[in-house]
Parts: sequence; C-alpha cells; structure tokens
Amino acid sequence: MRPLGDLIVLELCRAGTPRHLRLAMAMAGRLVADLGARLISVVPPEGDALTAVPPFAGNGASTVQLFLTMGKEVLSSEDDSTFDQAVEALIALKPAAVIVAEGDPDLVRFARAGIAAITLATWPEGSEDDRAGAPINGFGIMAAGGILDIIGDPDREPLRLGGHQISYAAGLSAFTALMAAVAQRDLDGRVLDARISLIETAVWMNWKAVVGAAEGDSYPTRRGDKAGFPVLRCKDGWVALVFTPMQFDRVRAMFPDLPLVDPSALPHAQRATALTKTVAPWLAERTRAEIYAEARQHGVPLGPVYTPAELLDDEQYLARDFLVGGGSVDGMLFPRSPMTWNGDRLPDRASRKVTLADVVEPTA
Amino acid sequence: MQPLAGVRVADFGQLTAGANLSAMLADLGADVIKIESGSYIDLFRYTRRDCAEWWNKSPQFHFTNRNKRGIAIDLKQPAGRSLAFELVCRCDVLVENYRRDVLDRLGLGFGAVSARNPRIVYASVTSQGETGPHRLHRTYGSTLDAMGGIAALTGYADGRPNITGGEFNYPDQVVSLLATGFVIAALREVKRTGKGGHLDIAQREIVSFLVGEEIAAASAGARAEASLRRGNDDGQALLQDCFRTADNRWLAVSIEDEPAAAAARRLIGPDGDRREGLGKWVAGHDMGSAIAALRSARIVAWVVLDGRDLLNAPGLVGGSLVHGADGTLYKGAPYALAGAPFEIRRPAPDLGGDTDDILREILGMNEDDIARLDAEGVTCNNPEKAT
Repeated sequence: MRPLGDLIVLELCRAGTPRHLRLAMAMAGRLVADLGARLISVVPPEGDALTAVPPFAGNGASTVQLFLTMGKEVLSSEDDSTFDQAVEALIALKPAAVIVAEGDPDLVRFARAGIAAITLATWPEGSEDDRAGAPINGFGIMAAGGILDIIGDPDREPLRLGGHQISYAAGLSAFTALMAAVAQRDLDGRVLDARISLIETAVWMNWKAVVGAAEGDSYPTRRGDKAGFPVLRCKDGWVALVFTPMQFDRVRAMFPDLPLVDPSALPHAQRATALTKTVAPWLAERTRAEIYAEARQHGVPLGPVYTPAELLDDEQYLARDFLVGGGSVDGMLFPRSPMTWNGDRLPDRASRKVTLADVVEPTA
Repeated sequence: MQPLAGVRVADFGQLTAGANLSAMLADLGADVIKIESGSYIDLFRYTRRDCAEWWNKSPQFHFTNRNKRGIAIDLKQPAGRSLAFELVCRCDVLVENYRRDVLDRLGLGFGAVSARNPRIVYASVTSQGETGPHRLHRTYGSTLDAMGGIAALTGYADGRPNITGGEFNYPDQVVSLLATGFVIAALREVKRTGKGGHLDIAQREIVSFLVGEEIAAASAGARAEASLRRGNDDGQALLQDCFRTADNRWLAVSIEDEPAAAAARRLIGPDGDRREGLGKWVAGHDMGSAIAALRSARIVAWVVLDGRDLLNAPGLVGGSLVHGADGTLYKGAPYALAGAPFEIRRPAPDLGGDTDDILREILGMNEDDIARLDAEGVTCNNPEKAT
C-alpha cells in the first residue's frame, strides 16, 4: 500500500517554533511519509528543535527525533537565505500540502501556489481569550484542556500523561486533516487549508468531562483507583483490573475461591475498593503472565502493565511485525505505523539527508 | 467543502473507538449509515434510562453519532443478516470495532463482503489486531493503556502506573483521530489500484506508537526502568508540577529554562525555582494573583480546569464543542477546515430512524417489502420490544 506515492508534502521547521507545535508537526509528517508521500522536512540553520528532546540514545541522538523523522527527506539549511531558496524551489515542485506552525511567514505564498496549508497552533482560531498571550507549553495545555484534572489521585496533585501526548494527538489530527485536504484536491482540485489547535484537541478528547458537566454535578474528574478500574500489584509488576458489572460472572469464574461482592450491588464509589481488598492477595502471589492467562481464559478484559522495554519482546508485537530497526544505534527498534492493509505493513523507508539539488533534480 | 462527498459508509462502530471514526467520516461529507437493531444497540445508548425512549436520549450517543443516518437491522435473524449484507455490498467503506470473529460468524466478515464488493475498504478498529496470538483477548481502552506502554510512563514518582480510565479513555479518543486519515488513505489506494482491502487498525499498537521514542530508547538501553514514572517532570523543564493555591485550585507551573528560573528567584526568593519554595509561595496566593505574578515573569502558569470550567470557557473550547440548531451540545471537529465550518447537518439518528428511506433508496425496496420486514421484527427499532 502506497496511497500517497504520487504526492510531495513539505514540513517546514522554523527557528523558534514552540516545541509542542514542532512535535505535532513531526508526528503528522511521519504518518504521511509512512503512506508513501515524499515528505521533505526543511530544517533551519539553527537545526531541528526535536534533536534536543529527550530521551537520548547512547550516542546522544534524540530518539524522539529519530522516531519522528523516519521515512523523511531532511533538507538542512546553512543560513536563512538558503532556507528561503529551498522553500522557493520546493514550491515549484507543486507539493500537495505543507505542514507548518502558526504564524509561518510563507502562508500567503502557499495559498497563491495552491498548496494546502496544515497549520499547527496552540489556541483556537480567532480566540479572544485574554489568556492567549500567556506563556504556555504542553503541560500548560494539558491543564487548560482539562486533561490534568482527570489523571491522578483525588487527594494528590493532578498528573500529566507520559510522553508527548497532547502534541502527538494533535499530530494525528493534523494527519487526518491533511488527508481530508488530499481527498478534496482529488475530488475537485480545490485547496483545503486546515488549522489544528492543541488546546482544542485536548478539549475534544476530554469530551466526557464536558458532557458530564453539562448534564449535572457528577462529571468526570480525578478519582484515581476509585474511578472504577484499579491498578494493582502482582508478583512481578502491575495489572489493571478492568471489567464492567455486566462481566461479573466472568470475573467470578476467574477467582472461584474468593468471596467477591457483585459490584452492581454496591455504590459506584465503593466497587473498586471492595474488589481490591478481596483480590489483592491473590494477585500478589501470581505473575502478570499467570494472571493474564487466567483473564484470557475467562474473557475478562484485564490488562497487565507493560513497560516500553517489555514491549520489545511482546509476543503479539513480534507476531505482527510491529517493530522495525532503524536509527543511528545498532539494535534500535521503532514502532511501525499502527495499521496493516490486507495483512501487510506499510513499506519501510529510512530517513535520509538531502541537498536542494537532490530534491529538485532527483537522481533516483 | 465536503471532501468525502459521494462516499457511503456502513457503520457498525460502537462507543467511541468505532462510532467516532465514522462520525468523523460523516463530518467530512460521507453518507454514514449506522447499523443497529432493537436487539443490539450502541452501548452509549444505555447511558440514560430514566425517560421514555431512553435509547434515543443519550448525550454520549449524540456526541459521537452526529451527521449519520440510522437503520435498524436485526443481525440475529437470517433475514436481517441477508439485508445487512446487501447494504454493505453497496457501500464504499465498512467500519467496525467488534471483537474479532463476530462479523465473520454473521456472514459479514471481510472475506464474504469483499467477494461481492471487491472495492470495499473494510476498516476494522481492532483491540490488538486481526492477527497474532492475542487477537481474541477482550479489552477496553483502559486495558490498552496498560498493555500499550503509556500507563507505565504515567504516575507519581515511585507510585503505581496510571490508566486513563473509562471517564477519559485516551486510547479510544486517539484512535479516531488517526483512523479517519487511514480510511481516507485506503480509499485513495482503492482508486489507485481498483482493489479494496482489509484495513486493520490495532488500538494497542496506536498506544505504543504514541510512546514510540520510549520504545526506541528502551531498545537502545537508554532508559532505566526505575525512572519511568516521574510525576509531572517531563525531563525537559527544570521544574514542572501542580501546586495548590490559597483558594484551593491546582496551578500547573513549568519553569522551562534558566531565564525562567532566575525570574522565579527574583519573584519568590532564592528557593523560588525549587519545589518547596515555589509550592509554599503558591500556597500563599490565590489563583488570580499567583498566575498574574508568574506570567509577568514569563513562567508557564495555568490553572487546572475541569469539565465545568471548560463549559464556561469558549475561548479555550473553540470548535471542539458546538451547539446544534436545537441548542443540543455536540462534539465538534478536532480541526478547523477552511471554507468548511463545522456544521451539524443532522443530529444523531434515532434508533433505526432512517430505516425506510435507506431500504427504499439504496436497496430499492417497495412499501410491501418494508412492511413485511417490520412485521417480522427484522427492522424492529424498539429495544423493549425486540426479541
């Protein structure tokens, strides 16, 4: 499958682009490259901000940068004038779309050239909120978008999601917006620009809290383990004890010797506590593998907690060929795009550094 | 602009992961037909049971099924399965997120459908994938938080891993953001090759993809397992955490670099860039004064908002929430498309609300056929009367 093989898409990294926007741009570009587009990432003389984002491999390379640059052609600029020359030359190649951060100085040029601009922004378009000028980053966006309020224990400080989730989620959204622009172009040749705001993305994902608040006083907020699915210790780690009251018969079959109380007979807030007390000793004597095997047998949607390192040897991921080698360190593995088409993964493409001459007059 | 105008989608999507994917296709102009029955409804329809026709009143269902049409077909009856098959064979896309093998058993699996409709994009939002030894393990979003790697990275330092739980359910939110783009790509592949196919979008893989740099770091031996959970520290900011204000609000503060740290010391004192000093200072200020002072020093400072706060903050919400013509609140679009302001063209369908129209228009049935299907209960649209 190479559905975008006939398209060129640009990703313009500018000096000073906030890190939370740069991460989102790079995620969108990675997905477009995976689908076969010729993704040209133009890097300013100051370098790509991604190279400073941890974690770092032993040779000092950012694994974020390596992961998000897979499949891309990276065009570095010696100075501002070469960056501008590159943009000018690349526009002449008639790219289908360009991924930029808000305020990009070339937006008018892209519009004139009929190139769809996929713009990553912090704030909603036209927002007159008086907070819009305040300093902000991914953490602040999680606070303003209500995500922090959802995660953690009720009597402790709110928690961030691990990784770069707000940026990455906005990157997924930008990818889909770019695909919509491609579909519009195919349909009638019209140019469809898109703007993706990280704060809107956060609120959009957190819709259950908003709809709950619109309905009444009992809306989702930070309840920790009392939210329903406790994460409990076992012999070699942790398991998330996930099930609905409708699946209680299966849970009872999984723990036949334990005096479980039917959760539907308890107030919602007491269910997880009652269950935890009963099953904790049983779990503590068993490994994740043993518990997961029991859960699979009985159809209980329990999940062992796996670390990223453990995913490297995950039976399911190995069977599905989900990880692929690459990067600048021997043995390093990266996730492939999370999909298959008729059972096949998307073709792997390595990142490569290119010059303007390579791009404008490709030899291969 | 409606880039997916002319695309017809058979929607077997449930809850958020499947139903919101097809809702996003509908937002882009596709004709999305939600297929349920009186005997099997989208589980979001159960969230409100305190009124007549409760199955048509769920806010959660409305949020995730706007802009679709709805047909009731009982897949438990042979005549219903046959009807659904005929409908699916007249569609460009099928969206489903059932447990693996369910649609196969109903005669609606990829093999059967593609044999009759070789150009179909058969989009399966799967738990762990269509293949592999764990393909049949039953999961919810929270299961995938745990198994995909993100729970291990989320939590207080030295505390337990955290899942996002049913009230947020991060894995279900991100899947539609990504899968919608994959479906559009697959439609383009069909145009390019003339051949449809099975698009398998594994939710657990999406979760792992979103911590891809951590998997890469682990493979390079660059991340100690002991340092996976670090509270609100992201490894970049010099100090980043939430602190409680004098008026009992949580304030998210991030001191990103040395100039910000120096500003914090000038504002607060010698320990202004340390957790204890900053926490004590915030505790002595109300939210408004703390934010004003910190921001004037160019320090990131944001109050942690909750669902109610967001309802009253249109400047933050933007287009992520919209009101329909009748004032009903809907989830909006996760992006603003120029020239195509997001619109609720139609509210979420009542259960089987468009059955007769769809049978006439797409399957060419006459009134007698339609009446017979109704009399036999094949198109029953009442969960309280379904067999």
